[in-house]
Amino acid sequence: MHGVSGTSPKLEALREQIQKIEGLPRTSEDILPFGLADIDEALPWGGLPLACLHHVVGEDDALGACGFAPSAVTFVAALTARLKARRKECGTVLWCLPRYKAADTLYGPALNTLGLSEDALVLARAKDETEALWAMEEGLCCPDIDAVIGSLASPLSLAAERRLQLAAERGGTTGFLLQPGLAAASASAAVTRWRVGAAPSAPPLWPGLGQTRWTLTLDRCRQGTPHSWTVEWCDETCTFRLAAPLCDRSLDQFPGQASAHERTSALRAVA
Amino acid sequence: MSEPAPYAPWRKKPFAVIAADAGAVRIAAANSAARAAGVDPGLSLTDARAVVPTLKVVEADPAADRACLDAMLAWARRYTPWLAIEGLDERGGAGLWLDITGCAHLFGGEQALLQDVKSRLNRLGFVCRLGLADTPGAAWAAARCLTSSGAPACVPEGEQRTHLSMLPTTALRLSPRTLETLNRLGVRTLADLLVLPRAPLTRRFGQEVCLRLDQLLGRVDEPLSPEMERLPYVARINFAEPIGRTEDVEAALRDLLDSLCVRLEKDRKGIRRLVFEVFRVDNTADRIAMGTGQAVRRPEHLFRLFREKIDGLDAGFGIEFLMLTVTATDLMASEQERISIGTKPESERASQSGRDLALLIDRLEARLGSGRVVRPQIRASHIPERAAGFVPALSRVNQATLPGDVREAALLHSDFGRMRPGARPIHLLPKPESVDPMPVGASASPTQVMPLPGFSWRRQTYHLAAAEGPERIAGSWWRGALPPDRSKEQQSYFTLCEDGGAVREYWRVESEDGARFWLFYLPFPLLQSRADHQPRWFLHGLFA
Repeated sequence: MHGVSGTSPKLEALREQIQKIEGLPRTSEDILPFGLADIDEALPWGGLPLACLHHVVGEDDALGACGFAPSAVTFVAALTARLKARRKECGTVLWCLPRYKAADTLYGPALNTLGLSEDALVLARAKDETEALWAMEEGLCCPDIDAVIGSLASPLSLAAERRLQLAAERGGTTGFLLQPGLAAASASAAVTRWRVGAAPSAPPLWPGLGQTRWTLTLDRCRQGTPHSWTVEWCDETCTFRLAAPLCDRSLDQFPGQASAHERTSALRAVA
Repeated sequence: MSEPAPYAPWRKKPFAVIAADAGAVRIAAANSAARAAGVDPGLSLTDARAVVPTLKVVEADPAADRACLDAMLAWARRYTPWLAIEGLDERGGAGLWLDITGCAHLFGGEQALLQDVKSRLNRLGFVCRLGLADTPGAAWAAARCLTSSGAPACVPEGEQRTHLSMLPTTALRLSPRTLETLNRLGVRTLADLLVLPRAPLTRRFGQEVCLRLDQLLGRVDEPLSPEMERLPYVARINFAEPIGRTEDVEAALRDLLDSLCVRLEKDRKGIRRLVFEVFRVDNTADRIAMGTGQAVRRPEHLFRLFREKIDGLDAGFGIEFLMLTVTATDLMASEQERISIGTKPESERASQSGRDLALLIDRLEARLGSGRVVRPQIRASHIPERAAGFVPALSRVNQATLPGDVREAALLHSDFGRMRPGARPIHLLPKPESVDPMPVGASASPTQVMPLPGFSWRRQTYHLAAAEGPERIAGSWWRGALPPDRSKEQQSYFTLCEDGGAVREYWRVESEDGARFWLFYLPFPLLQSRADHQPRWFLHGLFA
């Protein structure tokens, strides 16, 4: 949309009108940039549009079958923390989840290190998904809430998603619909739809774990095209960056690492 | 007035109320028997005991005195609506003011009214002194100085000067210092005071003496500020025809809420708890109780709290009347309502900040149930499952309510829960789940530091590609050793893990497809005898 240029003012006016109807942002205030040129460019707004609904699903793998999607949860938590930090006010994030399900095992200290401190987060533990949806809608209409996250296991009807999208537009609040492992990409009323899954990390130069890596797929995007990236998530700075092309884990390509390992094994042998 | 009913047996014996005052325990009030023996208010308890060794004492309780006065005020409303309390102070105890202007004839005249008050109070077990006069000052003086025989003292209309001039200066409500100075000057009675020129009196004592004198004689008005009756916050609506439609109930509820909120606004109060009762024609009733996290006075918010529950209401044969009762209120300052709705300018957001959130939390709690809307709480503990908890969203965390050892730890490490980023999993299983480790050697990669090649959890097998650890976490050893006989079953095993000091070695591991887990290993089996059968590897959390 922004890429198109040199058109008549009439056409521009018409586009503006359509954009207004669609309820999508026009100013930079309503956009949350990822801070990662590749992703921001792939989105027609130059970032994640606020005051609308986004759909984030976990990869349909073994963990997803158990109802867990830790990568998608972290992705959403990091995005909301970033959103909250940008607003500068002491806003609040409402997290609606059905209780006694896999979703209700969020761990406070980890959320804290992501930037969602304990006074910034309110959890609504619903009896079932209907109640969780109701709580989401209430939260989206509340001006004191910066973002609403809904962890739901089953796919939503188009009507329900549309309802949430309208509530988000009306209340000016950003909604994230978080679902672990959904196989089929059905029609959706959300503005974007992301798929987040874990990816094997690059082995570090020391024994242990490398930086967390995710495959981040933009499945669906209004006015945009699907994309896929492998990003590296940095725990320390709470930022994304594009992962270097993934390498095989064999040690031949990492002579430095091999030597590091040799060093440690030598140390262990001495010990 | 003194000596309420429980102390009736002591009425004839020396009895006093004591209070700590300026480092000494002193007599605050004494009954007639004690005063006759020489125990006067102001005497220290030791001196009083020396004078009357059998003196019974009880500690002063100002809150109970006040409550008793309030109850008496409510009782006295039978005589007149214009009532006030004279608080407890050093000038001669508490009292009640009754402005009976225009009320006496209902009881057969002033004397009859006084007799009625006296006999009723006596029956209730109170000794009372009654004074009646044109002005509050004169009535005060009459009640305290003219009632030595116990009979009510009545000062005839317009005759304060003749009736009261022989009274001592203590009959004026003067401060002890002024009284003492007057005493030193030789001014003992009101008659002495009345003949003195006013200008030097004012120069010496300020306004006080002349003001009290004028109030006694009626030269200056002294209005009483009456204690207003506190009507309960109840609203009720009756229907000519029984109603049954939800819309009608909602409309009626709106009216009730509006009327209550207007009254509360006047009293600067907000609703904390509310009961909505529905009475049907067949004499059955339903009640819906509702609580709010903070004082609320906005009808539309309260209405939304109820709307969730009204849907489930059974109208039966029809609803005859509705009643709304406020069962708890809080003080709440007046506020300016928002004028524009729907738009969110920044300044408005800031001024309104927090209010809307509290209302939202109320609404969520009303539907989801109390205790369902929570905030995460980080606690000072190194044991993972204890480091996190949840508190109701609207409560403020009170450090004092935490258990003792946690509080100590919190003092030592004020930011205990704030871990190194990435050190703790995003999902923590409520209970560690045992996993089946793969036998070592199945797919060994010799260069990595690997605790185990893989494991299966919830019927899925994960082959590990990398691992980091161990992070050794010891249990709360200060809670004492494991009781040897209690660790029988798998069930009690984990409670012991938490309390008894089992050591766990945590590993962060990554499977071949990138999923990360938080596993722990028990290096020392809890039961030596059954070491072979116990699971040693557990899954506790999931990383991003």
